[in-house]
Amino acid sequence: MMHKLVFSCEKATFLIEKKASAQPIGFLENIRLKGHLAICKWCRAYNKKVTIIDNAMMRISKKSNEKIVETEIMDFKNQLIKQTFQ
Amino acid sequence: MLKEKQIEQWIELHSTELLNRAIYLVSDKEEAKDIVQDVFIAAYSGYGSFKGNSSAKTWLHTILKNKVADYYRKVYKTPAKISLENFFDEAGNWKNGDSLLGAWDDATTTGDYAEFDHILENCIEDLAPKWKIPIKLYYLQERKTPEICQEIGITTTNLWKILQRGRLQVRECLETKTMENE
Repeated sequence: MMHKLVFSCEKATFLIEKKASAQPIGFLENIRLKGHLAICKWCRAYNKKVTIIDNAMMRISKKSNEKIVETEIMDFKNQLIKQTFQ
Repeated sequence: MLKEKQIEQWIELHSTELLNRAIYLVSDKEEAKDIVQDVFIAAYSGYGSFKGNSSAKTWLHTILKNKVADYYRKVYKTPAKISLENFFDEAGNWKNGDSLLGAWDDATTTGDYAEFDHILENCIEDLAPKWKIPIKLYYLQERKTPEICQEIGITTTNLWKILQRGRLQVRECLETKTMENE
């Protein structure tokens, strides 16, 4: 099959991840990845989606983390006091 | 000051900050609460060893660091075997490739990301801790790999594999959930 010539989709996705995260991949690996993407529509689709996820993740993590409301903090403190001195 | 009174005061002064830090590190509010509880229990029983030459705040944060390290060890105690067999067959081909082909372009062309991001957040929350922690830290720490590996105690290669595995799962989750909405 074609994967004998290039490499598997599993390996390709790993390289796509590395590239998406601005990690250097080898010269030869890069060529083989391009070759793989040229003939594999699934990995091409995946490649696109990784970028979309990556961008969305950066948007999300910029938003403040889980908000804790004041009343929850109060409950938590009371709970701490109770449990600590048990 | 009485030991109990002192601890109570520390809880009043420092527990919010400790909790926020713990949530940041373990990506799970309930787990973070348990860890902070453990911090104060340890502070109470180890009160005698608090010398007072560092501030109470520093001391409590040191205990927190140790407790979080314990938690990471628990999560990664089996040397993370990262299986991709849900996604690829033995030859490394996509198992369910055609689901990849559906476009998500709606969100990305209209520029309205709110709904997409909301679904993504839910998908991330659904991940098991061992996938969720590195992924969240990776983005929170602006994608700096070495720091995260050191903090969690895993190798760089394993981090890539975890990120790959995590994102494969998130992608699948997104495909299912965006379809439900249509």
